[in-house]
Amino acid sequence: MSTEDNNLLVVKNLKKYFVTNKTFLGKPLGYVKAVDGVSFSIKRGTTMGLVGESGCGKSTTGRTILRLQDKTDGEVLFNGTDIFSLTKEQLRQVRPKIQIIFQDPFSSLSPRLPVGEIIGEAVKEHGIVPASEYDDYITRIMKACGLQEYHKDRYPHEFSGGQRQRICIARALALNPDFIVCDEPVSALDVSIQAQIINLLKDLQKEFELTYLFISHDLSVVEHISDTVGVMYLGNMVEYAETDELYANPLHPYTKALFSAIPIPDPDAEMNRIILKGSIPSPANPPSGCKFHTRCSECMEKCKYVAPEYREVKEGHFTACHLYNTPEIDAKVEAAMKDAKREEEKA
Amino acid sequence: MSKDFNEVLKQRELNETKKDDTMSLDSTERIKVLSPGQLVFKRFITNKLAIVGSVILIFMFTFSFLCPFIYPYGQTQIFYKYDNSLIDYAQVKTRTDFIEYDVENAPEIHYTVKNMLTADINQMKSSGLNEMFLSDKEGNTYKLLKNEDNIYSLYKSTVEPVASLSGAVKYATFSIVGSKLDIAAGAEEVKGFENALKKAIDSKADKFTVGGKSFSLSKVKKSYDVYMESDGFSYVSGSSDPAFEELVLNNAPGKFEYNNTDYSVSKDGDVINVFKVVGEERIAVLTTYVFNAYDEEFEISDDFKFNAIIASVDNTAFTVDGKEYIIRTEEGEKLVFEKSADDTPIASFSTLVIRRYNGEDSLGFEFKEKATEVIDSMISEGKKTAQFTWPIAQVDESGEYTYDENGELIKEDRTVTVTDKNGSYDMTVEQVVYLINTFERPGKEHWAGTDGDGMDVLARMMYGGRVSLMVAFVVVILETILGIILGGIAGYFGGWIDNIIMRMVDVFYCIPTLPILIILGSLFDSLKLKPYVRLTWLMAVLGILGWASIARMVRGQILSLREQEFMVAAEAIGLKSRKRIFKHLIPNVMPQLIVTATSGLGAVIIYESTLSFLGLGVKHPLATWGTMINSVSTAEAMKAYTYIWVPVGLLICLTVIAFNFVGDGLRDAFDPKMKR
Repeated sequence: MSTEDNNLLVVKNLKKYFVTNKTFLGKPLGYVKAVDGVSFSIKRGTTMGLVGESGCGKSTTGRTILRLQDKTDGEVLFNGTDIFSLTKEQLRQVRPKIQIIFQDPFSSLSPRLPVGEIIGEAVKEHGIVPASEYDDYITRIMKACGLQEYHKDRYPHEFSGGQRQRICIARALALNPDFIVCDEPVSALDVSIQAQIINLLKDLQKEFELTYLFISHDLSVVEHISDTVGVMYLGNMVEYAETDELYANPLHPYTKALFSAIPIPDPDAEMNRIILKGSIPSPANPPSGCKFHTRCSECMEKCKYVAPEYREVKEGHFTACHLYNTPEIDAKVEAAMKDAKREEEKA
Repeated sequence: MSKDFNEVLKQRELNETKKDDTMSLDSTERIKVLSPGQLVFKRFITNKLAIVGSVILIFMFTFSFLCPFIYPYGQTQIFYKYDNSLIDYAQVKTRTDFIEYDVENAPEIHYTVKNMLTADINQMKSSGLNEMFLSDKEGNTYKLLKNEDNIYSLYKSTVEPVASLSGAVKYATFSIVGSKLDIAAGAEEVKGFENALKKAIDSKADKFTVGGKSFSLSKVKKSYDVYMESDGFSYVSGSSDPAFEELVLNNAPGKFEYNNTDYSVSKDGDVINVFKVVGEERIAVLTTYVFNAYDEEFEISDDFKFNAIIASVDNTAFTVDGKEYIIRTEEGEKLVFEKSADDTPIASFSTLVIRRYNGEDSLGFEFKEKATEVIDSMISEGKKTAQFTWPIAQVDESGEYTYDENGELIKEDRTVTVTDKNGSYDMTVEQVVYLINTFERPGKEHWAGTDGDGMDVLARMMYGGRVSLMVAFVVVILETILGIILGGIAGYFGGWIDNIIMRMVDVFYCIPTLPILIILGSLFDSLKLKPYVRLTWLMAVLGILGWASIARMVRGQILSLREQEFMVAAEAIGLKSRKRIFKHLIPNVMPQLIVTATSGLGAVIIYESTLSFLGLGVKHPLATWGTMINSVSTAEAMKAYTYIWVPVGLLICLTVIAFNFVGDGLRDAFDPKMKR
């Protein structure tokens, strides 16, 4: 089994721009580049964490992978098939295999359906189990997610946040999926419940060989659950590595700053926090060159003009930063910078 | 690499050690599980107001849709009642015009005299004359003699001509063509007339004298008429007498006495004729008397009347059809008796004409006599009204006269009221009549009374409720269907479809509903639509005018719901669009929709009532609650007929309130987020 085959999901140069302005006739004028060329792959049975600030495009990436939105460019290969090449009906058939757990367990459950119906609806629709076993199956799934059988006929509003998130998980799980996008599944919950849900997800992964894309801005949670971690900044992937490698040895200045913010549960320990200046720039008008250069503590002149290449710096460790350029690349970058400067002077 | 969760979970279940059977706190059996429908129902029935509203609505529906099957009256059934009412029974008039009875084989009365008789009598009455002489053109003289107040006799004199005085008498005609002279027949010959005439014509003189006589000429076309001037009286017999001639000239026309002889003078144009009166002959009697027969069977013929009048004048007996009658005056009243049995009067003279208005019964002699007596006493006492009691034939409840086994009309004593109306007397009697039973107060027969058209109010409330409720439901269903379809399309698809539909909504919001309905009302009027066709159109128009707000509401709801995460989730789990719309979208719009629709029901009922009240909606006699209130539309009527409009107003109020209660109750019941 090749490495390529072992990847359940491959995302290649995925772009998602949102149109913000239109001319009177509907011609687009301005874009928000929410996802601007993201590539990664997830191996079967593993969890990839996706971290970044609010608004960096994590959730958009997650939803675009599911084709809940249309892409602008790029490819999403699930089990080797491009999700965006499927017809509507084919997509509907594939849907059960890719599921999503939403951030807000309050709005993601239809308030007018009982829980059993919410979980079982799609089971019936896709015929996951024979009709005779349907009721038992729902009960089993609910039990597996820590819900009681009598919860079936209750409505979502009668549940606590943690229970609702379990319902969401049960809904996703009931479709016998291979891959689940967990879109900040625990950020709306308190810490004790977070732990329960994370452990539940881990248990289920073990038991059912699930593959997760775990989107979060909680680095501790990501460290706990993920096998690999990608760091996003303003629509771009800035660093990607195995969890241990990344946490031990972050390369990108943004990652370093991000990780320096992880609280250490020891009041005496001194935190070496790297404080980033300013706030995240608008994705509608991103900075030129390296998008991070406006806030980077190690910003160089070339950073302002030339965007760094996202490449494998170490074995299995990818990053996009000019600090780790090889001399050949540096030479190219310098040349590109000069061209860009000349252009600027002309203008 | 495919795995089956179900199998994995089953395996897990098997591996699990069985828990003990004691019921745990969260055991399913401890908690009674209700189905969603039961939950909604349970929540609904725990809402007291909703229960009140439902009970009222159930009552309204039973009342409107089922009760009419039991209730014996229809909505347009008009009720009648039998009531005593004053009706005009008879009229009495004093007779003032004279009837003329001509004596058989008498000489004819000249028309100029005949036509003037009534005027002459009136003249005699006003100037208090007892005698009057009349003459006609032919020289006949007549004498009008007053026998008594109500009888006048007309005599014709028999005369001989005595003398005449003519003015210019036509003597001859002279035709210029052929110089032809025609002398009037019987004219005396005048010597030298022809020559004198010709001379006069030649000299163009218009007068000439010849042989002691004067002539005048007048030219008529191509001939000359020649008149001989009068030269005094010409006597048929006797000789000229200046004193006589002076009397003639003073009394022309007229009558005078000279030398113990009566002469009469007639004047016709310039000609005066003098006659000597030889004798006189009665040729007619005139009277205002009418005869009332005591016995209704006895027919009074013209012959009888004439003879009775003559006999009355001459104070003699008379014979008609072989029976001899006499006239006697008893207590100031002239009565006719049969001579052979003169104690029972046959007929009486009267100047009062009594006429029955209409009816199968005829007026008996006794009634006439009584009426005459009453009127006489009224006149003598100067009263304007009087009353007396008299048995009068009565109609029964169906307006028919009743007869006993002998075929006689059954009579009952009634009070007859006599009123003087300038010489004619109206007699009114209370009688049973068949009337439309309007504005009857609530009672045993009509539990809610009757309205101004004599229709049963309760029945009309039932049928009116039918129309009102039906209109409300049809209109709201129509509105809602249109609203859901258009609003749903606009909200779900968005884009230019949304734009078009929302602009339509804006346009419909701009339409001034009431003026449109007023115009449509008059259009329906002019088309003379049948009530039910009109009703259908009204419902359609109200529905079409009302969908906009529902469409806007549905669109807004769907727009907000579409962006909810559960809709994204529904897409993510691969549901079909249809299921997404009907299972996730519509149920979430339902509470809002139900509230809007139910309060819309109330609003439509009020709208329909308003329109009907204004006469634009459903037309009388088809009952609706609105038209029923309309039947009392003045302040006085509102005050007097509270029992008509108050119950109907209450029905409208109750129904609208009940719809609102039920709407609120349903919203709360459908909304699981509501606190119990």
